[in-house]
This record gives sequence, C-alpha cells and structure tokens, in this order.
Amino acid sequence: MISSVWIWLVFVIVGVGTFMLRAVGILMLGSGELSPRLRRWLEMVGPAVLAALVASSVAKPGSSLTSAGIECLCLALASVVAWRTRNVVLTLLAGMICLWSLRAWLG
Amino acid sequence: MLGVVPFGLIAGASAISAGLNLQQEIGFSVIVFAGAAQLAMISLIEHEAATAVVVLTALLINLRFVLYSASLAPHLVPLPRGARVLGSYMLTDQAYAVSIVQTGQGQTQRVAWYYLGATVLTWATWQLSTLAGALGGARLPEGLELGFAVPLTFVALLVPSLGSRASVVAALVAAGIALVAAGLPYNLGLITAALVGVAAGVLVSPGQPADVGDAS
Repeated sequence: MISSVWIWLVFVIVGVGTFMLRAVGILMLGSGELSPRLRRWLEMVGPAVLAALVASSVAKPGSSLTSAGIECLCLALASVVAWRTRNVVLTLLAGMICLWSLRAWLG
Repeated sequence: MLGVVPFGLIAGASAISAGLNLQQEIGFSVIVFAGAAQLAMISLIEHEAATAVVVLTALLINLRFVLYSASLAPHLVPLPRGARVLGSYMLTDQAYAVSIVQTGQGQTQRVAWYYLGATVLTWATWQLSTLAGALGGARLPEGLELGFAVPLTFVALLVPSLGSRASVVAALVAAGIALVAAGLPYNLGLITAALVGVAAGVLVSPGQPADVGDAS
C-alpha cells in the first residue's frame, strides 16, 4: 500500500519543480535569450527523453520476443506516419491498427 | 489536442491500477500535470523505486519545458503577469507545438492569446480524460491493448522534435541505452539513457568542440 503522506509529498515536490522548469523562461527571461551552450544541451533533452521512454516501453520485463518485435514494427510504422502527417490522431490510429492486425494474424 | 485523450485515459487508469486512490489521482493530474512524467512516475511507484529516483526521473523528463518556456517567452510578453503564471503552469508539448507554428506570422498579441487558449483547453482535456480513465479504466477490455497508446503518443511527440542530425543521434543513443539499461538497479535505466543520449547529441552538434560560435 502506498503511504499517503509520502505520495502527496512526491506530487508536491515534482509539481513545484516542474512549475519552476516551465516558468523559468516565461516569467524570468522575457524577451531575453538562453545562452547558446545551454540551448544546445536543452535541445537534446526532448529527443533523448522521449526516445528513452519509447524504448523502455518495449523493453518491459516479461514480454516475449514476438510481442516486442510486433511492438517495434508498429512503433516504426507510427513513426513514419508521424513524420509524414505530423498528426497525433493518425499516428495513434496507425499504431493501434497495426498492433491489432499483427496480434490477430500472429496470435 | 485530441491526441491528449487516449494518453489521459491510460494515465488515469494506470494510476489507479498502481494503487493510487481517486483523490490521489486527481491531485496527481492537477499538481504535476505532465503526461510523460506522470506515466513514468506511476511505473516507478509500482516498482517501489526510491523517492529520489521518482523525483529525478520526473524532473529530467520535464527538463524539456525549459526550452519550450524560453522559446515561447518573447511571444507571451503582451500577457498580464497572472496570465503568464497560468501559462507557465499549463505549458505542455501539445500547446507548445500548436502555438510555436503560429509565431511565424509576426502577430505577437494574437499568438499570446492563442497560446493561452490552447493551454487551457489542453489542461481541461487532460483533467477530464485522466478522471475518466481513473473511473472507467478497470472496465476497459484488456484485449484492446490501449496501453500501447502511451509509447505511440511519445512517438508522436518525438518525431517532430527530430529537426537536426544531432537530435537524431541523441534519440538513437538514448533508445539504445534504454534497451540495454532496462535492468539497472534502483530503476535508473531511464535517467541513464536520457543523460547519455543528451551528451551524445551535444557531442555531435555543430560548433560544439571549441564553442567558437559562443564568442559573442
């Protein structure tokens, strides 16, 4: 069972920290600019974090190789759709339909 | 904006199945209000990860908001301070993505209010869809495998962010490390993968070695 005090404390710490990350540009920077060096680091955070999240979803413990393979294939297809259309709903649809069909086909 | 709905349903449903009660789930979505971080936190909480790992993973995932915030800042100057505080709290990938494409037209006033409208809409959609997921999640048929919508949403966010060769390197290295490091102790796999990916991207980004471009 999750301790109630602990969980609220974690929410508040992450909530306050996240607010500060979100506010630092909008509230403190105004029309100023980030230093190019900091900018270069930050520009890599989105791609790295999101790719790591995608990959670790495939690498979850207990899933079979076939299942992981199917998911990889559908994620690749979804990436192509995302790249071509820049449309979230189409990306989701392509990925889900791919998963359902391959599962139905391969069991 | 519609892409937020399945993402929210899954986040709400998985929070409940990880052991949060309804009140905690609502507090979670309101206080943290960040889909990718919330999902990663839920999975870490489920695996009984250390508090520091939960907090650091979430903040690392949300570090990308600094860049969004800085790039939006000049366009939000026309807003009153209260609206900018609200716009900061409500900053998301989705609101950023739809607003930043509006900035090319040079009408700052319009972009600022457009952004605020987009954030409020995203916020409300997130709260309602996580709540719906929390209430009805247990009843969703297992066979639909809606959990797969989560990595798909990450793909939808990831692909448009791959604008340079360096960002592609960062993403590939991070993904590779995440696969290998999935079993690292203390659930440090994601943090390790993201940090190595960022470093790899910076290393191959142009102008890095001598920082010649920074002289001004």
